[in-house]
Amino acid sequence: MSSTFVTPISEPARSPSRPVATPKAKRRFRREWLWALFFLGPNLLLFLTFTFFPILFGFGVSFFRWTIIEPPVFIGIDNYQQFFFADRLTGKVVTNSLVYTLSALPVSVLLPLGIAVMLNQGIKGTAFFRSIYFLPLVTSSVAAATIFKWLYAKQAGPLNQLVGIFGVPRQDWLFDEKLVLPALIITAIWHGVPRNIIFYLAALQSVDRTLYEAAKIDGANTWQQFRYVTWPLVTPTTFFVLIITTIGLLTGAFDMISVMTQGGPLDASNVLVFNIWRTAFVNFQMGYASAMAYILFLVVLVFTIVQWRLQKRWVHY
Amino acid sequence: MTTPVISGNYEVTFLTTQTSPADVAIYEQLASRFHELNPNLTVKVTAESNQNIDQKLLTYLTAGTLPDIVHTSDNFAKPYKENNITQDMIPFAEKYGFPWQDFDPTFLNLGIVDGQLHMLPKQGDVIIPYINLRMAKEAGVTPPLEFDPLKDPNGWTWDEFEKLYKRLTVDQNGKRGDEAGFDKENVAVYGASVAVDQWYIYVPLVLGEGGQFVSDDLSKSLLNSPAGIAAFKKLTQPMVDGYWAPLTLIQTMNNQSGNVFAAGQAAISLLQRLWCSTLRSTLTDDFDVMHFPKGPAKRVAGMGTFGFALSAKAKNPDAAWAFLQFMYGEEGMKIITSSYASVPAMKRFYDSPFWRDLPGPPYHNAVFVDAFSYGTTPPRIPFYSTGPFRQAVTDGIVAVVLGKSSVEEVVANVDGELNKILQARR
Repeated sequence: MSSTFVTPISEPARSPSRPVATPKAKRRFRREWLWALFFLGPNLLLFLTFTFFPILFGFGVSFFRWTIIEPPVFIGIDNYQQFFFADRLTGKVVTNSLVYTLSALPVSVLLPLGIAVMLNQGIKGTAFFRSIYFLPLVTSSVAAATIFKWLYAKQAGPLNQLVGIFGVPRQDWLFDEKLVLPALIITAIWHGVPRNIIFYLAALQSVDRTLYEAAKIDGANTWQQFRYVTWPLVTPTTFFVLIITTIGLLTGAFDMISVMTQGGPLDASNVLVFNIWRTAFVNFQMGYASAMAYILFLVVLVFTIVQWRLQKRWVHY
Repeated sequence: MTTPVISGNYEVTFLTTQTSPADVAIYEQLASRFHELNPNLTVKVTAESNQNIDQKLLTYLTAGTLPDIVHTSDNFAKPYKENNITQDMIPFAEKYGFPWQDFDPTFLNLGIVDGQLHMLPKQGDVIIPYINLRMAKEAGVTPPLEFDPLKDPNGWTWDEFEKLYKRLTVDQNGKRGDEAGFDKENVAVYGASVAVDQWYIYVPLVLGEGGQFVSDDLSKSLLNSPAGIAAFKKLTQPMVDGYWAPLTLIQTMNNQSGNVFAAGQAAISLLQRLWCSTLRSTLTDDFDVMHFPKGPAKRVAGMGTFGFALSAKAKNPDAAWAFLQFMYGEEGMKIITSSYASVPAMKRFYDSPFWRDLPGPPYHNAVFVDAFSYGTTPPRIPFYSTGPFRQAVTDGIVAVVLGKSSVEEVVANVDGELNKILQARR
């Protein structure tokens, strides 16, 4: 009788993605790793030295009271408690940060899209306008802030001369508690828009032209083409622009404020990132400044996570 | 005085915070001449911006990479000594016969910590009024350029100074500050541009009113007093009335009140000697200097110095000292003062023609030295507290100018801030 039901012992099935590691293969693998290390190593070393370890160090410092000159003293979470419960500036600084970010954000995200759509038309003179719109991108933020400081000057600033034509009295744009934030927001928008235009232009150029032709054939006007063709297809770019612009507004206002207002008048333009610098390098409270930096990091993280979750509702891939 | 003899080649590293090309050129000139005299020794000059120097110093402190010779000032003498950043220079001075006690005691004492010398004052700085002579002529006023406080101790008062800057203020319609119809909202030229948020302005004003800033043992603030309030009124009212350049204009001019004067937008500014080189190159009008006006109680001006110290980390301190000794000698001082930016801090050079007889403007160089007699140095609060304290003063002045607070409230607030700082250090 044949043992047709006896299954002969066989070799275990081999996964095609996991070849047997022969010595030659092992040598090749090691060589490839060495090459990877060779190319990635320098950047990794720089990242670890100047980014990763300082981040860890800063986190550690946030649990100390440290003026640099005197030895650090461990104080637990006192710095964090000070920010939330004891610092009279916290409310103002957080409010300023939110107002600054939420006011600049819509314009910084949507205006570049409009400009990019116009620049993408391919009409005569587009190259010239592209150069004009990209100029802020190649201007250093400090240089831009210096120029805007002069533009806003009460005595001889061009802006006051311009509004004077319409009968508006001269304003002290950077010394008025109500006007200083709008003035800074305008500067931030001016400086941030060109980068986003580039992102949108790239996105627009990847939109299939035949979709517009099809829409035209179906009788769609310009707005409808934008609303039903362009907008859905650029939503991934819009999402990206939204995230990086928010992060930039929350964390990147320091140089502008440092040059233009130093957080004044009376902390009316003091935002969290500037307050961190002042706490560390003017007040020499390194621990407290580190704690604030981590709080800012958490704010940015939470915002990013929320946006990431919400993208399913409006981003079309 | 003997010159250190150094065997072998060595490069002395030298850090200054004077970054203007003219100042750096002076240090390079010193380095070059020193090398000519000492072929085996070279000096590498590094200039770091004074505005960022706190951050730079923090980096050097934590990294332990201080140059052989470091810029220092009265604020840093003590912490540098305590943290073993600088070393006592008296042994070197005595070893080579350098007359270290020839410095003006006021400046020298700023660098003496626990009986050790941790700063050689490079220059004596006193804040005195600079005046635009063309504007004075057009206003029909004669500034007290020949005034001598030794001959007339009660002369040239703050009231007279007030009349002067009001007269010199001009609005866009040509009305002067002391004329009816003067429009303070449209001023063309301010009577004065004053850095009101700097200690060398508000501390002397408080003292000039007969008040005191802090107690002698530095245990408590004495600012909240009638004198303190009167002083802060003197600081703020002229800005409110349009006679002094507003803080926004000073901020537009790189936060330097001297720049407003240099641009011809103010007729007077309260500055130190180092502004002479800038003004000679930028101000097209002729200018001169005069003594500080006397307050109700006394005449006081802000005075200070900065200097250089031998780093405790210097690998060849004798070589580094050799350069310092050259710098503070006659030839070195002659080079330094040739830029118009310095007044020698050593008494033996006060009357030296190499700086006194420099062609004007300014024309009354004696004022820079004679004013030492009524100068006052900054109160010795911990240097890491100067930031928050200065912020409290600046915010207070801004609050008054914006009409948000009264002078009394501001003085009380600043007094409270100072008390917090002084109690924290005890």
